Amino acid sequence: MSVLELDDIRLAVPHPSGDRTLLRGVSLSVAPGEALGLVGESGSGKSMTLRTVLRTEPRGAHVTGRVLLDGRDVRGLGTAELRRVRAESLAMISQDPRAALNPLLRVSRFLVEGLCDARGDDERTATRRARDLLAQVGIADVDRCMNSYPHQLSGGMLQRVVIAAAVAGSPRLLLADEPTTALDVTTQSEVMAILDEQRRERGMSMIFVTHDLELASAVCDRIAVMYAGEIVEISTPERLHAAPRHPYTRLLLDSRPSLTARTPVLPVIPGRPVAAYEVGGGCAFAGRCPWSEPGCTDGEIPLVRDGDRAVRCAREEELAGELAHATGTEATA
Amino acid sequence: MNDDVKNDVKDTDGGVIGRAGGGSRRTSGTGGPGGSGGSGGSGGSGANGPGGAGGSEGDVIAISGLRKRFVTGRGSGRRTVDALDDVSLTVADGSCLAVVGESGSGKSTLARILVGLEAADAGEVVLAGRPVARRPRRAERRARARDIQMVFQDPNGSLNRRRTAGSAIAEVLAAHHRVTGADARRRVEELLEQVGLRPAHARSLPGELSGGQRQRVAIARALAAEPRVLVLDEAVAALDVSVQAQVLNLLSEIRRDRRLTYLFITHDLSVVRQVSEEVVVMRQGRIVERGSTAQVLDDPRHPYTRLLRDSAPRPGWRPVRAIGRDAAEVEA
Repeated sequence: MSVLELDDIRLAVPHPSGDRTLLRGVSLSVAPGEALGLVGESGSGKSMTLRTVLRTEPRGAHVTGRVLLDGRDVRGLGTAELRRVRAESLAMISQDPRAALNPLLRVSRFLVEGLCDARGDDERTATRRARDLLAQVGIADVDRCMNSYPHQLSGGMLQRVVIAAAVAGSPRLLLADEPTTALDVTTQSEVMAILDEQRRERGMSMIFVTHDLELASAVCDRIAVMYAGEIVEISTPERLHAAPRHPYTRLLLDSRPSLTARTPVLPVIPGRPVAAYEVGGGCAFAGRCPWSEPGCTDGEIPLVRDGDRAVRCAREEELAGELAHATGTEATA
Repeated sequence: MNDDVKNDVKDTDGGVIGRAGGGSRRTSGTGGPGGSGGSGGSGGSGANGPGGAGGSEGDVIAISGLRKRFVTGRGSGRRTVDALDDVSLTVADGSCLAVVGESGSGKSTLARILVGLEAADAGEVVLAGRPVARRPRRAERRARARDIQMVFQDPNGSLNRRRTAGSAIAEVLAAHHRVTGADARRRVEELLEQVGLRPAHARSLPGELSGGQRQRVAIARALAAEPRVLVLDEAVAALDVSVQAQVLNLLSEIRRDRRLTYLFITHDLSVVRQVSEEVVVMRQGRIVERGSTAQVLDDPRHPYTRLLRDSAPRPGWRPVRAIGRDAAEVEA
């Protein structure tokens, strides 16, 4: 059974000019021990999808659909039960570790209190466990870190403290929302390695939200690409790179400059990313898609599953061959 | 921001603090830039690299021996940080020099000194053949602003949110070229068109524009001064991938058409590859490697450049766990 199953999640928030849709039917599942990357540009709904799992969506939002965590619908839980699920089964790592820590408490206080609360440990046991955890997330000087206040630590150190706290109870599912976006690249590499290692050792599942397709590919078993509040493609990282099936995925891969070769002109996706509430009928990407045809703007285009991959494109079969090749100008070294 | 300082503190304290406060001014005429210490063996300046300050006729920017020290904290927590430690570089007319580094490398301080937002403690900046005074008068500042304009990472911070795109651009036209009224309106439309926006966007407030559109307005406003040099400080870092590609293409088009010179500050080596001919790699206030972009990225010599390259996600990449880096990250 899946650890997490999202079934047709739709979300709209109230707005003076009528409700605004942010999610237009997101369905996905995460298997035990699996890492799923949720990749997309800003406003595509990736973070909002996570928030429906935690039930921290904006006030007044209308949400429909089911969020099944180990078969139980999180959306229907009462306050006390929700609290328990959040404490025992879920852990969240956000972009800004400072948001997770109380600036007035030392790291030791933050970790020990958390452990006492969640596991009912006594203070001595919790302190020992906290120190072990910090060592596991690659902190060399544990004493110094334990005695520090958040403002005395760098972003990379703090994010490791947050990871230590998140994995402490070996929750079923880690929700990581751009956990390394605010970090330097060298620190990002290290923090991602630690997160990946901890997750695997403890057999936790993860949803990893990022705008960076390459980063997601390095640590995830499957990638879901989101656009305008829905998933347009799900695939393994290898197949996504070798043969993307959705035009948006193809263009997203191509428009990123390469580390190894310069192109005279970068292939671009014309226009700008559209918001979910701006989408009319048919394919949300049709307006920017070089392969769109009149039929693309009719009706609802379903996410068609094929084994462990899925695509939402009306011309998926015709385009499969063409999308396997990069668009645009030839790369020159 | 705090992290920057902290990272610096650890490596600079001890070694550097003892140095003379004023900082000796160096002129590296014989091409011995950077490398005034520990990071020896780096990049080796090279006669063909973007170095050898004092430079030739064709250099629009020539910086030599630039130093800047910041003091942070109070009382016993007081520390000095060498944001720039003997930095020398030149940028040839019409070329693009990328400045790469992480937080605390001094790359933004370099940019801010170059455009006059910050004064150096020592060293020389020559812009378009004219030496720039360390504490310039008003008229000199204005003249410099005409020569060199800056585009920041966050257009929300650099654009007034109550001011329309058109009036933000018109302000620069009036200040530098005394263009007003109908002439200004026409010029605003031309500039908007050059950055891929429509004339109607002149009436938009920043809040009504997307991130990419706002960055285009910031670029149009910089171009309004008709500068010779654009300093781009992480100007595409906050943009979505698809929008970033558009803006990168736009910037290279503008450089070609207007024969502009760019100093392109970024942490992203893929962007470096795409936009620049030459690159300097900075770390903790020093240039540790310099050379042609292809040479530095294909065959990095300095261990730090290699670490940067190996840390960049790309197909087939795996994150790696470095050992024992963190001890220094905690402030004492």
